[in-house]
Amino acid sequence: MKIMGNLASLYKLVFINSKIYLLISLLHIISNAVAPFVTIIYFKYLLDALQFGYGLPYILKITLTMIAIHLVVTNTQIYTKSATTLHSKWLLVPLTAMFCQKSIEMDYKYTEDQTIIEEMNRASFVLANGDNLEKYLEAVNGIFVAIIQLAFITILATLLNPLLIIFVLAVSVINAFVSLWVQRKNYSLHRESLPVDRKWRYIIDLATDLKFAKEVRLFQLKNFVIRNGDENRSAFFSYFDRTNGNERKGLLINTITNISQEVMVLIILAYAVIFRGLSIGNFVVLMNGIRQFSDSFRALFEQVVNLYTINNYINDFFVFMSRKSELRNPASKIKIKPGSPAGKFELVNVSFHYPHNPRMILKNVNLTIEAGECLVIVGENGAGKTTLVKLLMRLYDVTSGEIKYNGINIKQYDYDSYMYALATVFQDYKIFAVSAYENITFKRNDHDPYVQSLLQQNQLLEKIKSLPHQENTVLSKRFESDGIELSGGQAQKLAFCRAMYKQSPVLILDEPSASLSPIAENEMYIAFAKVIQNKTTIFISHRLSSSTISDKICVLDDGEVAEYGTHEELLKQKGLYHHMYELQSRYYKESV
Amino acid sequence: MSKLLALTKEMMVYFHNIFRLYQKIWTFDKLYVVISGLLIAMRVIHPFNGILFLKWIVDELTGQARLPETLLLIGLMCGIEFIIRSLDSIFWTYEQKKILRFKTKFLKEINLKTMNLSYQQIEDPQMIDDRQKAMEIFYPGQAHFMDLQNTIIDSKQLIVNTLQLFGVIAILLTLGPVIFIVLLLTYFVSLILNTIASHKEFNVWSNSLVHIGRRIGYFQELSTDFAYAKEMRMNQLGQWIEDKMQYYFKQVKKDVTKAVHAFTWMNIISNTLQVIVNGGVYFYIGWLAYNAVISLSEIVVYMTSLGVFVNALFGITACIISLQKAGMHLSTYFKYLQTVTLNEAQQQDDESTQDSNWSIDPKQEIKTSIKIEFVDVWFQYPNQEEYTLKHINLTINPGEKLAIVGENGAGKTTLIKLLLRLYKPTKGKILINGTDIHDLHFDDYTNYITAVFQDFNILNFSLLHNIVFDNEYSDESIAEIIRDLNLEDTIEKLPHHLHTELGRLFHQEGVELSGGQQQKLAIARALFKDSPFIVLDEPTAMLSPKAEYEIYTNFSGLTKDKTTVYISHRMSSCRFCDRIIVMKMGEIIEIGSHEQLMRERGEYERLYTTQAEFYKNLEVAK
Repeated sequence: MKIMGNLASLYKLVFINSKIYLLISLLHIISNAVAPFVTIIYFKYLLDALQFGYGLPYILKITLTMIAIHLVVTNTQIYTKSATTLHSKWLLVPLTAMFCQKSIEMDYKYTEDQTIIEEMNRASFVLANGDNLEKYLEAVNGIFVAIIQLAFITILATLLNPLLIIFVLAVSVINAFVSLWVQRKNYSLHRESLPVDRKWRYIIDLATDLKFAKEVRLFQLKNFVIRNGDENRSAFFSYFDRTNGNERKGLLINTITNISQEVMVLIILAYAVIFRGLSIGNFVVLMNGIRQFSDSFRALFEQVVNLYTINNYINDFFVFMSRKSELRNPASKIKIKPGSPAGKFELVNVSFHYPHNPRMILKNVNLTIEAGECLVIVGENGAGKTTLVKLLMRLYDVTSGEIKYNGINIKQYDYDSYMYALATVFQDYKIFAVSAYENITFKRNDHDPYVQSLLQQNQLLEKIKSLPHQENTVLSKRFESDGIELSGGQAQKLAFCRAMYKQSPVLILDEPSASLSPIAENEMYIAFAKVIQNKTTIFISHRLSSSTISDKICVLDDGEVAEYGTHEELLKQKGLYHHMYELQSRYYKESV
Repeated sequence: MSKLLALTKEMMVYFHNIFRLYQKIWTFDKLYVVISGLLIAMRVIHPFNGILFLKWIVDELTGQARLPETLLLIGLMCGIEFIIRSLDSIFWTYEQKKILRFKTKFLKEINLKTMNLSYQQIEDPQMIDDRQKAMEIFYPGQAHFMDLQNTIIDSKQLIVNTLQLFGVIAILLTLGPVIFIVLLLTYFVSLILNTIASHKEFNVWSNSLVHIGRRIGYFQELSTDFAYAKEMRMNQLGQWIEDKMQYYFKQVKKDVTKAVHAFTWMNIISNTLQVIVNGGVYFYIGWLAYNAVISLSEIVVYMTSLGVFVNALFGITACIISLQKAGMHLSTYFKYLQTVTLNEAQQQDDESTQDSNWSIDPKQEIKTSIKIEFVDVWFQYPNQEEYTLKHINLTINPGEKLAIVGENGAGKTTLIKLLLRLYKPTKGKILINGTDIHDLHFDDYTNYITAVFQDFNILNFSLLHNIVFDNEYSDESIAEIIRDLNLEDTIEKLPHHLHTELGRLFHQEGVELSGGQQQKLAIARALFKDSPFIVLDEPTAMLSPKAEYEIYTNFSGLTKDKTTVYISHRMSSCRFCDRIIVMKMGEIIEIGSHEQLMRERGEYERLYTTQAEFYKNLEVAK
């Protein structure tokens, strides 16, 4: 039943995106269904004509008719084959786009949820693994082709001997059951072997991926990798040999049933010729027709199995596509207007634990960030700093308590407009394989004086101007040979440009200076001091020197606000902050 | 015409590659090749069994129509059929098994080759592309575009079909020389047309579509790779991704459609020709029979033969397309395997001269103390105009603790990469105890030197394997390293302690360590290797101030008598070092101890005070 539902959803998409495809596949079905019969039926007429002496003009007539029909049918086959392949490949584009949109809009918490990750991966099999969609659509066509052919042969054969068709049908059904039995057995083996194969892919990555190249060379992992690969493969071979054995059994049983069918059919037909006066023409037609029946039935079976197998992926695709977002609540309609002034954040009794892990990461956090204020959050690794910021960014929603922006619970804002109000720079910022301009604006290449001034502010203009296509230079060598890879520091500056371009009232920085040299760090602070003047800023940092630009500092310890106040206040408290500060500044102070 | 000639030449290369493939398989498994030969012979005969017996059966039916004789013929035909098909099934499964093993062997070769190539080589985009193409045939990734299985099966099918075609032509030859010539002509024209069409088809599917497929794949990867998840959400990039996809799609749509039309038309022309010629032959056969030149049974033979003819022709074309693809991929595969690694000294005959340099056993000498010298080293990345490193002259003395500082992009990491032999200097030499490091075997050299990288990887194996890999170890040595790095508590808390699997890729109960713990593990790995020379590239960037402080205070203990090179942005860490080198724009501009450099009031002093300034300012404010 699910197959029907998925088929309906899929063909709805096909109908929306490519109506012509439907017409072409109809032609494809008809031409393929008819094709094998053209010569079979021609033989019958030819042989009959010769056996009963119908004359040369009659032979010429049927030959010409055959040629004409054959031309139309085979050429339609050729054309529709190319066209269906092409159109089903084109269909991948809108489907992929939909899928990408969905994965980006999917709630962030799902990115850490194994079941959803797997669902998403399986859904992507419809797209990335190329021919699944193509095969699925082909299977649908193939089923129609087979059904038409079977119906045709049944009519043909029943005219002679209905027993014949029942007999052949029985053999075909036995064959189908044997194949089904083999596939069932092998499917469970295949499932068991999947993790083994995944590990193999990982091992190949270890050997070949640039990411691991340094370790492989310096720690001489050659033998380690090869040995693990060999072990993995021998485990996989034992699975494979078992499925292989099952397959062999199935094939041999099928051969036996097929041959017995052939023997029976030939005996019946020969008997009919000898004792019932069946014409040689009909003898040949029926012999070939019945062989075609077996072929069509096998094709029907195979396509149904194909449909069924691929349907699992298609199903995952549609389930994934229809997954509801909890963050995007249509009832939340309050919009933050672009260009509105900085607002105030209040965290009221906020507690949080990650889904599937009951350990509380944040415990009863109460914190106020005034409009236009800069708050620095410090603390040990694992104290909950990043989590806190994730809550502010609505990557997760609080477990209990509430977060208010300008007095309104952030859940009540329209999700998109709330996102628009935040600009962020992460420690693990990403540079995309598109032009520098597009990396900042995410708009098609154009000239924007604002981008120029941003580049200038971040001391990046000179570098960008030196590139082969200035700001239109692609920032990756992945696709373009004249692409450029920026150095770590330059890339980070670009990430700042990107955040500033948004001109949003709130700025969130998650350890942006970790990979910067002291000078660059200093420059960054100077640049930021200007930028953040009218913004509410939240800044996570390991370097307490960031306190220079902060209004308030919050020390998180094990999910709780341990200390809060200005730099001076906290130093006076002689608590955690004081201790951290002493550790970091000791060496600098000695020489001062 | 010259185009056709070039095409033929190209095809020859491809087919030669397939021959080389079989040569390789011959070295793996001779029995398989022999059995394949027998099977080809059997498959060639297969259709003629039906043709021949059918003639006799029809003869019998139209002649004396005796039942026992007819039954005997049917029995014989089906008996032979049964034997052929059973053998075919058995061989089919046997072949599947073998092919899987061949694929594994081929892949293993690529893996080994890749691991033997130098870092600089495998970083080269051309090389990456080559490798992916070379791998695709044994390890179908993206669209199952290429598969060794198809290559092997199709190459046999090609031989089978060609031989069948000759057999059928021999039968049809009995119809008369004119028919034979007409059929042969049709065969050639169709074959040429089909080959050109298939060549075009191949270009469309493999080049244009793979090209755009990669781009679209990139954007799909961006949307599904969770490393990008935050960036994607915060900047709301969904629409942007869709626009980009549509943009690239539109770019190729027209060209691809045009190309598809072109090869479809060629196929249609060739098909039309065949249908008409075949129709003519059918009529001719009918005419002969009408004039009682041939019998009804002979008609059946001719008609069936013609059917086999058409099928064989289609088979040949299909195989040619598929083998052409395979041949192309095999070209890159063979080329890739022949790539010479830059890790080892180029020529074998150099060895004799080198040997004389090694008057004492090199290993012995080096193990005890290592002195590294950079002699006027210059380095330029491929395809870049400017030198990243210039005039590097530097001696690192045994047991020394050296820090490298400088702006982002000053060349610090590049310098380290040269030292680690990930790159080779463009000009100049790096000497280890007086010998050029590139004259040593790569594996030997890496015994003397180890590193902790900024972008280290924790592998999805057990924690213990992540430290020792496949080396032998003693429990005490592991325990000591763990103690030194304060990892005892962490490991104590893990479900299987040292044997806990890291990462959830393969084990649901696998553990993800925190960034700080991972970094410590990376350091543990380097310490376990116990090389006399250790390089640390920003080893504490991910650690909290407290953890960082711990590491630094322990480190001098951990690396006691080892030569150590640090890269760090935190000037405070330089204070542990004997000497500091300051780099700027690819050159070394200052060398000396902290006190010396502070007195010089140069770049180092500037860097240091900028960082100290933050703290000072805060102090003043206090």
